Amino acid sequence: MSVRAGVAHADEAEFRRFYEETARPLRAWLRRAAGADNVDDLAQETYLRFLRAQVDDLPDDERRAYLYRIAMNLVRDGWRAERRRGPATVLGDVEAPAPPNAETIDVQRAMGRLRLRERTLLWLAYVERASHREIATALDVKEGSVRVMLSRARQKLVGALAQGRRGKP
Amino acid sequence: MSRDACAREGDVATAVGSATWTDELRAHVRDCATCREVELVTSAMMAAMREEAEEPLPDAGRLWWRAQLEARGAARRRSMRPLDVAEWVEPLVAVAVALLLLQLSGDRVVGVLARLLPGEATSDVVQLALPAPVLTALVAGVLLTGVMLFVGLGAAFARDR
Repeated sequence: MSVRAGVAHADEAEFRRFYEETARPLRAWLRRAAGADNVDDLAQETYLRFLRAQVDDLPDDERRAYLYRIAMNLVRDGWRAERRRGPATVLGDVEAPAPPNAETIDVQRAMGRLRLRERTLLWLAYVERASHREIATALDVKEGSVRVMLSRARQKLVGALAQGRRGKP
Repeated sequence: MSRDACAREGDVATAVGSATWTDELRAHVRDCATCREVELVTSAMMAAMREEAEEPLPDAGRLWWRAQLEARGAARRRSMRPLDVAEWVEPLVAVAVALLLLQLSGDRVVGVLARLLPGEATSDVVQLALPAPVLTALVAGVLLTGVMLFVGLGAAFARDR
């Protein structure tokens, strides 16, 4: 984990540092992996809940995991609300919206074939370089099952990427 | 089925992230199916990450101060909670005390009521019709109705605000 040691959220400067380190990847995850449209609102609410939770006593490597856990819950809440509003807006675990950049279209489509938990797992492992312990905290699973889950999710994404490329004209 | 893990997965992910490869790691990836998967997946996700990096971040200070304001609001609500409870308990205590007093000196109250009413016959009727226990029950009913109205109206006003 690259989160600075001793981040104390009772201190504004320390929160700023934590935010600078985590906000960009979190926003990228929200947009690219979770397929959220309202990234600004979700990111803001995630940090507010994080501050509200007063998790200063958690070990450093668990804070970022906790941040992702909050964000995942918010994304799921958003999907539930969308589903309640009507079938035309259903996104959820099914498909993420198209990204603005053509370079990432394949990736995002492939990610859309994975469940949110799998996308988050891969993101934490390979973008955030999080430990299995941290991933387990974020996903609320046993640390021992992370390795197998990661392997399955990775194979699923590789398969989805290959399928996407085969389907291209 | 899940593929076997490889001890070099982390090295591969780091190499993709930093775009720094050693010849030895390259050679390993050619021979290791797991690491080839890791390279593919990490490259794909890092591309998505790099795209996000170009966008400016909202200010952390605003978030911090909003959280502070919310925390203060929550603390204020917490500190007011005993007063809210007292607001509910207060009328009930008043009713209980009134009933106790009536029970203890109900005959005297009936006597005072009888003296206040005009005419001797009326006073006698009051004293016959309103023995102390009946008066206590009547007053209890009136007071409890008052409390219910008070609490109900208070709740209605609170919702309107």
